[in-house]
Amino acid sequence: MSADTIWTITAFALTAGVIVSYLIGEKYPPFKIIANLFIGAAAGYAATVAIFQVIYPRLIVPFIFPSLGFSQITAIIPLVLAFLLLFKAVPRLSKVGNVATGVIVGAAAGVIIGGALLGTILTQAKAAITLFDPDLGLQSGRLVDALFMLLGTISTLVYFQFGGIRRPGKAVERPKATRFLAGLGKFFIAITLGALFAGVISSTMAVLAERLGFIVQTIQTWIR
Amino acid sequence: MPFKNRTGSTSKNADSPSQETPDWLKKIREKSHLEKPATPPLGAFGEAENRQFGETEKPDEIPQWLKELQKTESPVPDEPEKSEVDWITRLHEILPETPRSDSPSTTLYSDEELAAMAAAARKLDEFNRVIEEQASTQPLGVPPEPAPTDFHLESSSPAAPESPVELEGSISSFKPEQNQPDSANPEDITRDSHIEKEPVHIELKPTGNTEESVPWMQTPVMAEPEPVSIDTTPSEPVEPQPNSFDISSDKSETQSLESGIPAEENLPTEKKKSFFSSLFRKDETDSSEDAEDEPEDESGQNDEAAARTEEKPEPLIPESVLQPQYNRSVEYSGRLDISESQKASIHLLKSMLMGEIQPPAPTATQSKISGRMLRLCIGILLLIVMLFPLATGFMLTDQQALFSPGVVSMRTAVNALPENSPFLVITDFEPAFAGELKAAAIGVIDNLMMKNLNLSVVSTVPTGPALARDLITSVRQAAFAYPPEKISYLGYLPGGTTGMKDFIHNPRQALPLLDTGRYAWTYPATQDVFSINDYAGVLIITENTETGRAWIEQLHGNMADKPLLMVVSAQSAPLMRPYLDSKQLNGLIGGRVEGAMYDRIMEAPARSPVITASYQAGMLVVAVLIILGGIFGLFHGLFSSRSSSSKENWYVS
Repeated sequence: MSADTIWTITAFALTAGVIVSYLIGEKYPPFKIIANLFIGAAAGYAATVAIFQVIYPRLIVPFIFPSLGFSQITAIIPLVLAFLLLFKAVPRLSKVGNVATGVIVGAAAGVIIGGALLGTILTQAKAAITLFDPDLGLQSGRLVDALFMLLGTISTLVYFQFGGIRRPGKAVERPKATRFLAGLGKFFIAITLGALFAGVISSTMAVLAERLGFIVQTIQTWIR
Repeated sequence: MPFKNRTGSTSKNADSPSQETPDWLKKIREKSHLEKPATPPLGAFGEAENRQFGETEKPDEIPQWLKELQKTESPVPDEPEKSEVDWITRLHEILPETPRSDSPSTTLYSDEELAAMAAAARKLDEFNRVIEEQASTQPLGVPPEPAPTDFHLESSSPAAPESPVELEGSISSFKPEQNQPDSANPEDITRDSHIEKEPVHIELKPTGNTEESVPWMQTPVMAEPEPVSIDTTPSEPVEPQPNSFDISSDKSETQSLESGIPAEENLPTEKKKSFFSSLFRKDETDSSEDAEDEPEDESGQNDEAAARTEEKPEPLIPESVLQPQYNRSVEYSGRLDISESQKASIHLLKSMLMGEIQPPAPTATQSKISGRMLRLCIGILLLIVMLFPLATGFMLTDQQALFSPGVVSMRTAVNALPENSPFLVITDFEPAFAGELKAAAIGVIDNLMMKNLNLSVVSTVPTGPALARDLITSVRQAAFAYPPEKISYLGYLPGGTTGMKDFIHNPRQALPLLDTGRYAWTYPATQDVFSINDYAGVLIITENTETGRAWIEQLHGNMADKPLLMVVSAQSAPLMRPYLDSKQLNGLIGGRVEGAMYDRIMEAPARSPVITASYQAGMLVVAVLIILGGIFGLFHGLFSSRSSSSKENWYVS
């Protein structure tokens, strides 16, 4: 193992160890130094990637090397829009950049809405209905799953129904059936959030175990 | 009918006969009949308006009618209050023991004098009240004095004087030279140290028993005193008097005389202020100075009074709160007769004001163990438990024998891929999750390599390309490394969801170059790809639910019969599971656990089992801590609710 490799591993091990000092406090100076170091390294890397993989090949190369087959006319459009975006930095002229912002937001909204409608809502609804398809055969386990899913879906949707009935002399309140289903929906929501929380803990523990394993491995390398 | 003008002088009504008109007014009327217009001339239009503010007319510009008016104008008669005050100044003639006052009657009093005067006034009031109850007749315009409800003059001698002689004797003891308050408590009487020494002026009401009353008691008393009104607004801008309780009354002279206190109107202009507000306030500095100037009396009552004065009352509203509006603090007045309910209301108002002005104080943690200490203890416990398997190689559990549906589907989909076909790998994860996702995806990547697939690696995260290189190079050791020509790193795909759509629509146009700058689509791994459908399948590695969902949505319907596989972190797995159930995903691995499942289903040796054991130990500790914390929170909530409910009952009762 070369000295450069040993130094690199040692540096990573030290930084990982210092990060653990977060237990003492987030204002602990070594922790702040290492955290800022990571943030700076990530930002610098992202900027490098953006310059050498986005700006240079997409905005500069088409004009410098037109023989490569890039269309200059096509490259002018993003160049102009990018130039307009620079006006966002000047408060008095920020409205000039609204054109580019509008293009970005509008295009993204169209893409996202279309994908969500066709890729999630319709397909998930179709999948939920398919569970009750009699052509697939009557299976008790699948039917129970389907009913449970149907109940969970309906009750969760009812929970977010905040309408009520106004009776004279009384406060506005939900109907009894709505209250019952809303309570059931709250139960399903709690189960879902609990599962997500467990997933977060699992991810965190996996990362911690991997970093601790790295530190132990580095120490064992030192010893050997 | 006579009426008072603004200066207080009386004049006849306009309907009165002309012979009753004064001479100076006759001349004005005669002059006004001769000149046109009838009204006094105002000069040329705009002349007065063009004059600067504060600029007066020149004497030669005064019209003739006004000059004559100045000559013939009789001197302004003295204010009628003067005559009313004169007899007050001559009170010493009525009261032989009362010294003559050379100074104006409007001067203020010292604390002890005021205390004595207040005590005397109290005695007088009570004496009058007793006499009025026994009187057979009562003078007109002297109704029973309404007892103030909000404040009253306190006296240490509650018993009313039994005879005028005793009363007179008590009054005679109010000599300012002696400074011997009879028995009154100066603290209860006044706190104003600005009050100067002044002889006592007392007016006593005539009673029905005229035979027993002394001659000076037949002095006519002013009309019926109106109920005292309290004005809580700040005083006039000449001398701001914050929170002064201005006592206004049309017959203030009467009230002041009844209480032995000079009227407010008699005060000099520079000291004109609410008299009662001056009584209600205390200036410690001046008070101390006065205390030094005054000799101690023989009975030592001044010492007692000074001791009581030193007891500073509780501020009603903190001075800092009122500082922007007022420059003097407000204190509880010793003269206010405040009941317990009124004090409670004051405290409630005070808390409301404080709540409106000051931000709510941060809630102090009631736990005996600080959050930092608790965090440190949990962290150290976790480190010890997780380092133990790493150091010793202790395996907590054996490998899992059951597999999740997503892992089984993944295995089936990968095995169905044709060999040497192009395959798209999307690495959209952040460096923080690299440890988990590397462990979860490394088995799948290794299986793809065993298929000799031509991998195209792309990422919509700027740090993704570097993490992808690290992931793929860590799958195999250098000796068994995957051929470089079988992998093309297309690099960073900008634009987010729009970039995804662009790449799916036309991969060559969206990413023309490799991350090394070379042309991408002539590379051996990508030269057969012209559209997204040319890929045999897609593997998405992400920890972000939104990113994974966006790829699924954008790829939906564009890759017919091509497997869409996904490796996600454990926190995103529950949200990606519906897409697996709906067959939009053909394989799903969630987290490190299911990554180990994939290795096991592939009958491959376990990767880094020590780290897996450390992970399992950590999860066990966390689960135990969550259960213990839940039990503690349950019991803590039960006990705290009981204690809080008992508190509420205590407040209610």
